[in-house]
Amino acid sequence: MKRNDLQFFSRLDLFFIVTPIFIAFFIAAIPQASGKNGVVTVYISGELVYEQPLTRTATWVVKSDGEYLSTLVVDGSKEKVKLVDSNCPLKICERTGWVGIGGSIVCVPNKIVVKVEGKTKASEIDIVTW
Amino acid sequence: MVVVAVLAAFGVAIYVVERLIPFPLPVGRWGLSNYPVLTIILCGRAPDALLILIVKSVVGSMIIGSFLSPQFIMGLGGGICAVLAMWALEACSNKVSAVRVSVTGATVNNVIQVLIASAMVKNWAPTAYLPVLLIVGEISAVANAYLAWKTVIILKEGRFI
Repeated sequence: MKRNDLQFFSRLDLFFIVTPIFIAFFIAAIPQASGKNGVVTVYISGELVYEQPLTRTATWVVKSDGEYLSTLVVDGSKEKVKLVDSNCPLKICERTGWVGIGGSIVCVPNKIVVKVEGKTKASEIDIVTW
Repeated sequence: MVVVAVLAAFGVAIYVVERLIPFPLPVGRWGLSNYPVLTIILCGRAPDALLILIVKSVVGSMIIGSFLSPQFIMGLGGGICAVLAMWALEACSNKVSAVRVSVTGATVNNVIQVLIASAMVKNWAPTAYLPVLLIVGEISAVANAYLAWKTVIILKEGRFI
């Protein structure tokens, strides 16, 4: 093994550290290309299956081919949504909790994406929401 | 080989314990279980790194109960791409530093995992997690780099490797 000169840090590393931070801010700054404002949308496998205004309090059962997957809860007064009683094993979608405008809930096992579409003031919405 | 086995066992242990550490997102983990993988790569033994990665992912996820789940596939896919990227970085330069290799691995891992997740749900929504994941990944990448760097020095001084 020849490499006894292994360094911990060199000046070139700054470039490698800064680049991902730039990518992070770049992605965070991409505006959501959606004309809808204050609309809750549910996608299963990339297809839009449900849509409703954010201000209307409601619950909606998410099903695919008749099989129960999860339940969407919309709180119109708080203008927030969440998923409850999911049948997926790790319940990451439930742990995401309440999500407001600009946020989204992803359930990878069930291929569900819930988006709250609408205009947001700041570009760092992702950081605020999560 | 003994060193590889010990590091793999270490990886499994960290993999299982790591999920108890609070994480700023509902999904994801700090990635400290990649420290043994990084260590062996910095020793110049990238093929063994793939072995450690697969052992820690398979055995660790079996203990947790997430074996063959989407999370497992994302983690393994991201991990393999990260090892290949770190391997390429090592092969292309005669002098590398621990931080550079570690940060490259963390970034590739995060990007690939989010892309796999996006492909699974057929929606770009998971990319919204990427900014936070990348920044958190940098923090744990530097921590991993320091641990791995120290470990490599000890391994070499003791002529274990």
